[in-house]
Formats: sequence, C-alpha cells, structure tokens
Amino acid sequence: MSTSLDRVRVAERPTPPPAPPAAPPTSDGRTLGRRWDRWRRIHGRAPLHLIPLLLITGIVQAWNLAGAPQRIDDEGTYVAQAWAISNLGELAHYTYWYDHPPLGWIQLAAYTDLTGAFSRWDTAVMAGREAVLVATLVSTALLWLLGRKIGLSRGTATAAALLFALSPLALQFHRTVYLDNIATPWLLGALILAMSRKHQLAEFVGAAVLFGIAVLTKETYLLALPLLAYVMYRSAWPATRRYTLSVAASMLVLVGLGYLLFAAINGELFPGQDRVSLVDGVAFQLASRESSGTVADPDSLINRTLAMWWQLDPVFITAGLAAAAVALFLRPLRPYALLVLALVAFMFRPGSYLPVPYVIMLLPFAALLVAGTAGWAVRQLRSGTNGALLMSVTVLSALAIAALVAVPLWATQLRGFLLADLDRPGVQAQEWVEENVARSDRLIVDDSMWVDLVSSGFDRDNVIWYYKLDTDSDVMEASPNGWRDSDYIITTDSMRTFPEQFPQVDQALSNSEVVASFGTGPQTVDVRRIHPGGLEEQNGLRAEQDAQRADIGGDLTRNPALDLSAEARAQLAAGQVDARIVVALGLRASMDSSITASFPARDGEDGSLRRQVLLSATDGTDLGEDTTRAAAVRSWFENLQPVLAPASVQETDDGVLVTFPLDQPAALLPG
Amino acid sequence: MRAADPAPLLTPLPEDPLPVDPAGPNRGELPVPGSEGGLSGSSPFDWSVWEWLGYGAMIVVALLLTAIAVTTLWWMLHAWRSRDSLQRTGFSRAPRPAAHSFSLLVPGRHEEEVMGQTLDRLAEQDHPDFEVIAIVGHDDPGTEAVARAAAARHPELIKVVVDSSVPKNKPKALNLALDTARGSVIGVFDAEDDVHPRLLSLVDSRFSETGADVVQGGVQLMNFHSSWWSLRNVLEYYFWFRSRLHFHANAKFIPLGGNTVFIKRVWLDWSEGWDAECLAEDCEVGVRLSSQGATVAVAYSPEVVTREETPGTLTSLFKQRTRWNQGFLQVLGKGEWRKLPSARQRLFARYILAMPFLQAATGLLIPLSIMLILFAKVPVVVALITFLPLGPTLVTLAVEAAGLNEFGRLYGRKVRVRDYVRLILGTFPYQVFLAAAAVRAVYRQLRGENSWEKTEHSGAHRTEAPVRPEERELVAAGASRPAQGRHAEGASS
Repeated sequence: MSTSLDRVRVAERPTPPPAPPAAPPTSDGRTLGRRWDRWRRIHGRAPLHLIPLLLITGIVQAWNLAGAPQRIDDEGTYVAQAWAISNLGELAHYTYWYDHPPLGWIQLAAYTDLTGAFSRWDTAVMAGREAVLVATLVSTALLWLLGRKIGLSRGTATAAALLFALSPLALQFHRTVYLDNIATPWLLGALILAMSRKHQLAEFVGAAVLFGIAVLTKETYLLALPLLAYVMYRSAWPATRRYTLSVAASMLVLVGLGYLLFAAINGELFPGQDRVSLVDGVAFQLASRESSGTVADPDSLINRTLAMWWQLDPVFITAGLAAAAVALFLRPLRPYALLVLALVAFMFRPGSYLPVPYVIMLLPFAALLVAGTAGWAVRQLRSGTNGALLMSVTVLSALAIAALVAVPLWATQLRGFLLADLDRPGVQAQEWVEENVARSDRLIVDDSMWVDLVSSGFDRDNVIWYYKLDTDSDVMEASPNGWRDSDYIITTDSMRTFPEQFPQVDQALSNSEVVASFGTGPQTVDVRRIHPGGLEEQNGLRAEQDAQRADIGGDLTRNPALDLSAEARAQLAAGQVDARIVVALGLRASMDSSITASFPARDGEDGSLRRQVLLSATDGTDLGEDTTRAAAVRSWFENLQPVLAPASVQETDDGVLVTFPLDQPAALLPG
Repeated sequence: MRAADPAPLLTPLPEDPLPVDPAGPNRGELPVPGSEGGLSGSSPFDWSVWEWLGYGAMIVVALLLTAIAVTTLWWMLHAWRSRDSLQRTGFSRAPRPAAHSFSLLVPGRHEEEVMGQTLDRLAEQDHPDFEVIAIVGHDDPGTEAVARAAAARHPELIKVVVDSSVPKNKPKALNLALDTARGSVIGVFDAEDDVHPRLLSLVDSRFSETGADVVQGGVQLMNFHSSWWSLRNVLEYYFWFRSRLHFHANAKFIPLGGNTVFIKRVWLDWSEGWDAECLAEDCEVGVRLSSQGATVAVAYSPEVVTREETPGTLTSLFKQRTRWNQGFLQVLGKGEWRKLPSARQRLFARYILAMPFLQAATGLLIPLSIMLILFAKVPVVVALITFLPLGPTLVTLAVEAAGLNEFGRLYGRKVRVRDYVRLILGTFPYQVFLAAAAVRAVYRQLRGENSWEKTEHSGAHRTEAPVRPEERELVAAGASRPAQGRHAEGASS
C-alpha cells in the first residue's frame, strides 16, 4: 500500500534542486599528462643517477658471481631449505627447528620457482646468489632513496650507494647467500615509509609490515627497531600520532604473532619431549650459542670474524666508524649514527655470539654516514660558515687520505672478486664424487653441495649434512653406528675449522684418508674415504695390498710385450698401479706383440694408487681416436669380466684411456 | 677375438659381480627426515572432496570476515589517515560571515525536566538569524508548559508547535514543524541535547565554504565512566562522528544522524520532509538525498560537539540498537539507494545498510574459528587463514585504546586504568551484544513488528545538571547515531 502511495507522491513532487556540477574528472588523459609532467619535474633527474648506479652495481655483483667467494656451508643450508620448500613441500631439508624464522628462504624459494634459477646454474648455491644479487640491487636503489629522504644531494646519495655496492667488504657479503641480504631491502623500505609525510597512516602500516618481514627474514634485524621507532616518531604528525603509531605498532606485533601462531598450530611453541620448539630455537640463539670469546683472546672466534672483516676493507670500516662519530652531531644523520654505534657496541657485549654476517646490517648505514658526512663537509666548505669550517676541512682531508689508501686496496680485492675462481675446488670435488662414487654410498658433506649431490642421484638420506650427524635425532637413528655408517666425507674449510664441536665428524676425519683433493690452502676440498674398521686397520691392509701389487706389478714389468717408460716401470714395481690394470695388461699382452702403456693419475688423486691406464699403441701402431684398432681395444676392455669391468673406456688423441672404479674388488687378490 | 687366457698370477675369477648391499650392513632403517611436522600432508593436492569443501568454506568465511573487519577498521581511521584529512574534518578556525537563516526543530515528549534548559541554551546561539521551534504533544502538558515558559523568556526566538496526531512519532512532529519554519536551513535537535552557542555560526560557514546541501555536525556521548557498555557506546560515537562519517560523506552515500543535522529547505521540500513510516527516518532521508545527488558536509570539532548520554540501562541500549538495525533493514528494503548514480555507490550502500548484520556475523564466527582450530585437525595453512580476522580485530582494539586516551584528553575527563581494562574485556561481550541486537532486529522485521521501544535517559552528560532521583522513560530521546529510529508510541507499520 504505502509503496504505491509513495509512487503517486513522487510524481507530484517539486523538481529536486539542481545537484552541484559533477566533480572534475581526475583520471582523464590531460590530468595524467599533467601529473606525469609534475612527476618528471620533481623526480626527472633521479633516473640519471639511478640507472648508471644500478648498472655498475649489477655488473660488479654479477661478474664472476660463481667464482668468488668460495661457497660456504651457510649458503648451502639456506639454498637447500629453499629447495626443500619447492621440492619436498617442507620448510627445511632436515626437520625445521626454529633456528631462524623461515621467511628468508621462503623468499629464496619463491624467486627460484618463479625464475627457474636452479636450472640456470651448475651449482644450486649460485641460484641463491642470483636471488641475493636481485635483493642487493633493490637495496642499492632503496639506499639511494633513503639518502634523498634524509636530505642528501643526488650526488651524495649516489656516493653512499656506490660505497654500499663496491666496498670489498660489502661485495664479499652481498654475494654470499646470507638471509641478512634478503632482509636489508625490507628494512630500508620500512625506513623510507617511516619518513612519510603525506599518507602517514597507510605508510606507517606499510613500514611496520615491511619491518616485520625483515625481522622474520633475519631475526637480528630486530635490533633496528629503536631506529625505526625513532624515525617514525620524529616524522609523525602530533595530531594523528596517537593513531598512526599505535596502528603501526600493533601491525608489527601481529606479524610477530603470526610466527608464534605458526609454531603453536604445529604444536611446537613450547619445548617438549622429542620435538623441536620455537622456545628452544630462540633460547639457542640467545643463550646457549657458544660465546665468540673476547677480543682480548687472539684466537677467539670474534677476533677471527673481525680480522676477516678488517682484511676485506679496513678503510670502509674505519671511515664508517669515524663518520658515525661525526654524524652524531648532524641532526638528519644522527639516528643512523646511533644505530651504527649501538650495533658495534652490541657486538662486544661479553659472552655473546657474533654471527659472521652481522656486518651486513651495518653496511648500508655506514655507507650512508660516510657519504652523508662528506656531503655535509662539502656544503659547509662551500657556504663558508666559519664555525664548522675546521671540522669540515678535517673530515674532507681524512676522507682524502682514506681514498688514497683505499684505491690500491680496493683494486687488489676487486680484481680478486672479478677474476679468481675460488669455488673451482668445490665444483671439481662434486664432479669427482658424481663420477666415481656409487650412488648407494653414504656421504658426509658440507651443505654447500647438498642440493647438487641429491640432484645428481644420491638418495637424500645418503647425503648427510655433517652438522646433523651430531645434532639431529632422525639422522642419528639412521646411522646407528655413527660415522662408521658413512662411506665418504667431503671436507671444506668450515668443516675443518672446529671439528671438535662435532665428535662424529671428528671421528670420521681421523678414520678416513684422502682419495681426491682439489685446490690449495683454505679453499681445499678433500674427498676422504671412511674406513669403518679404523684407519690403523686400513693402513695394515693397505701395506699388505701394496706389497701384493708390487709383486704382480714387478712380474708384469718383465713381460716383453710391454713397452713402458722408466716412470711407468717404477710405478708398477712400487705397487702404485691398481691390480685390475696389472691383470688386464697381462691378459692383453698375450694378444698383442707389443703394447705401449702409461698410468696417468686422475685429476685430484695423488697418484699413490693409479687406476687409469693409457694404451697409446699396440703392435707398433698408434691408437688414435676413431681408428678401427682403437675401437677394437676399447671394445675388448668394455667386455672384460665383471670383476675387471672398467668404469669408463675413452678413445683420445693419445690412445685408449681406461679408468677402473675406485674400490678394487676384495676377492681379486689372494688375501 | 681369442678367449682370454688366465695369467699365471691370477686367482680364479668369480662368475658373478659382487653383491652390493644398498643400505650398508650397519645402517638402520632409512627415515624420511622432516616427515613429522613441516607442511607435508597439507598440500591441497592431497585433500579429498569433503576436505576441499570444508577447508574451502572455512577459508572463504575467514577471508570475508577479514575483509569486513579491515574495511571497518580503515573507515574508523579515516580522519587520521594524514594531517590534511584530520584538518578537513573540523569546522574552520576563521568562520565566514553568516549567510543563511536557520530554523531549529526540537521535538520533545515527556521531556519537561531537560527541555527548558535545552531551549534556553539554543536561544544563546550567537548567529544573527535563527528561530527555535519546539514541538510538543497535545497529550503532554508538562513538556508543553516548560516549552511555553522558555518561549516566554525568548519570545522573538522560540515558537511552540503542538502536535495532535495519533499515533505520534518523531518524523510526524518534524514534518508538522516544517510548515511553520521560515529558515532557509532546517536543523534538528533532541530535547536533551547540549548545544554549543557558536555551533550555528560555524555550520553556516560550513555551508558557505563547501556549497553543501546538508551539514552534519558532531554528536558525542559523554558518560564513559558509567559502565562497561557505556564506555563502548561512547567510543562508537566518537569514531563514528569524528572519523567514519567523513568517509561516508566523501563516498557520497551517508546515513544521516538524528540530530545536529542541518538540511537546506529546498531539499526538504523536495523530499516532503521525513518519512513518517520509517523506524530510521534520519537515515532514510540521508539515503534519499544522497541518491538525488545532494552533497553532505560533515564537521566535528570537539569544542562545539553536541553532547548526549548513553541509554540508562543495557536493556534500553539493546532496544535502541534493535530499532536502528531494523530501521537499516527497512531502508535497505525500501530501495531508494538503487537510485544512486554509480554502481560503486549502490554496492557501497548495500554494504553499509547490511553492516550491522555482517558485524554480527564477525562477532559470532571468531569464537567458532577458535573452536574449530582447537578441536578440529586442520592443515596449518587453513588454520593460519582462519586466524586472519583476529588481526584487524586486535588492531581495532589498539585504535580504540588510543581513541579512549584522546577522548579523555579532549574532554578533560580522566581515563583510568580500569577503563582500559573494561575496554579490552568488553570487546567480546559487546560483539555478542551487537550480534544479538542484529538477530533480534531481523526476527522482528520478519515478524512484521514495527513498533518502537522506549529509551531511558538520566542526563549524566550534563555535569552541571542536578542528578536525577530516578530513571525516567523518555520518548523521542536517545542517542543520535545515524539511522536510528526514535519514534512516538505505536508507530504504524
């Protein structure tokens, strides 16, 4: 009823008052054009700085990315965890135990999945390095923006970003797959948003979320919270501060609660029998990690770490600390100076653990301070204010000296980064293992090659990250006899540094012998054969076998059909030639009137036991590649009885190269 | 090829290759590391159809609730987005000279104790051109006497109109007064409102500055000390008028408030006043004017805000809220909002008018999701998503605490620790309370029960007013949240 009445009434209503004219359209072509013009007027010169800056950063970071520095265990761990997310649907390649929040390698996994990075590189870690390269590029651009936000000139901001990109200290750490590198862009982004003036509420929320991501990427970034809070408080409008800050704070708390909730839903928040827990993980990081020692002790871990940093770039470290001291008196730079000094002081607190990548969080801010202080000094000098004149002259002369010292140091270091192939030993060792070790053998390895070995066909239970052999109950259960259940241990610098921390690894090292060795000095990567019966028993056995080989080798030298060099004869007589070669040559000698043979050592093997034979001629004719004679010889070797079967037979320019497997069958020689 | 002749030194060769023990003699069973815990088993590929449906429903509900909570939170924070937006919410500091004439309508029913004072204070307005029209019922001699006494004190400003319609309600009273009002702008106040003397000048200036057709001023409940629910009720008003209403004005769809609302006469002539049939006549007229393209300006300055009090008991608040919700439902059903020019505005209108019910759902589903997580074994990802609505809820709580703190400072009222405790502890009960009111409104609307219910007032917002010995039942009184229904007894359906 009432509705029909309404309709009648509507018809009789007076015409409504004119509505106000429609608001001018905001997104038509002309306004867009005007906006673009405005944006270009304000920001038009930024690309002139940013594009070359990013090009230089990108080239220097990417050039020889796979060559230097050598892969380390940590990189392998993060990459393996990212790989586990994509390939196993789990947060880690072993049980995730809340040692770090997982967001860092979740981002790595997202990057490698989206771009297919794993298939681009021979070693998996390099896919991770590619991802952190992208993170560093983003960080470089954001550092430039942050510099502009705190009032640095474009040139000064560019200088800060270049320092951040090119210092050898920065380059070494930026190339390494550390979670810190993934956290840095989030932190810088948070700081930029925290300085927002226009849309404070939304941008502060953004800052809190970005910072939360940074902390969940690398927990040590929580140390930057006072800086972020200070910057945010200082830029907050007083009238809306109550809301903007409380919303930002609660957002940050929520992000943190999200992690707690994740643990709680998994039933892993609090410690319990036979399970990992968040509380345990945090307690490990905060309390039970072994102290890095004191600076007073020259052999302490902290001194090793500091020495490593110092060796990479003493100039940047000195300049950064000095600039931080000066910048305490410069208002726009003060919060960053406080952060750098506080972080440095935090390193030296007694009984603490100093992670090697700790320096990564300091890099952008130290670069900002050095460039910012220099920029300030130049401005003072130009404006000619008397008060700060002395100070600015001092700053500039100190910087000039620093630059003079830095040029030769940087040149040497950067040449190393751009040219040296420090990771070659690792790659060679991996190739050696993939060619020579049976897929059923069990290996104790550094995480840096874990993914590659698993991808090459080893069962992942047979590729044991050395760290887990002493710490993970699942792994220990699978190897009830500890190190004795493994066949090889592949050692790197990180594994050799503190073997006493890992008793099983230590035992494996003492009861194994090097079968192949690659590289020199700290870069050395050794493949060691583990002898479950102990090294002593093995040495006895070895001596016995050496004697037998010397016997049959000596016999063979007397075979008139064999044309051997003096060196080869000596090797046979000394028992350095594998018994299968001796037997095979003996058999072959009854078929040919003459055989020219030698025993080249394989790459990486020391030649004390040779398992390759090169037949360069038979019956006085060279066995060149693709000749029928060479093919016949190859076929003969390939058809030997199983106990004598070679691992490979290749025709080469120099003759037919026959390689026998590493382990000689026990039944071949009389015991 | 000749057969191989065994060399003299050789032992007999075994015919078969050596057996290879794949696991190694000493090794234990191969476990699958990380098979306990982790994310395994939660892969969507492993779910059955029923799991897909169940988890899918949980995820959809959780995401919807989160969307509702986030939009509500964002609108609640609208005024504080930036410094500029906060400055835009207030009256201008340097008002323009008066350019409009005002008629202020004050309906009162059984309000003899507060109406005289309200009229006297309205007469103190410093605006040069305004009149006050008090509307009283023919069956309410007490209030009529008070109103006539006030008119006698200010003969050139106050007129009294007697409403003899049966049954009575607020829109009928307002429509009656409209016939005698001479101002170019019509303002509405409630009989117990505490109005600042500079308000009219500021509103006049706001009309001139913005060219708006409607100006909605701020209304503020004051008595947050009274009880846990009055604290929540006060904060609702604070966020509504201080912040959220400005968002509605920008979005060009606004349910107007019941008082301190000023509408240009031409627009009321077009709308033929207020809809006497609707339980939320103020919301209804706002929706109708919005649909026709009238522009609405909102202004909230704490010093000139119209002060009110919460209903006297939780029951009367409950009845009041039921009425508002039912009013919203009526407006939704009447469909005037369909005339809004853009699809976006229509969607927005539908969302706003349905909001009390969506909020009720949020309140009820949060405990449900917690129960599900505690007692049903769901995959980690699904469990995490069901917790998502809790995020904006916690942020809202932080914002409310900040708002309470600001409220205390703005109005010079001390906020004690126990007020914050009440705020936090009251969150969930109040959600349940709102949900119950929403459910009751739907029930009444379905049953066709359109009668209004009484709201009680004690005058606690007037610190200078004497404390009233007993709570009285007031008609046409109550809080002025937009789209509330305040009606005379027995409003027709």
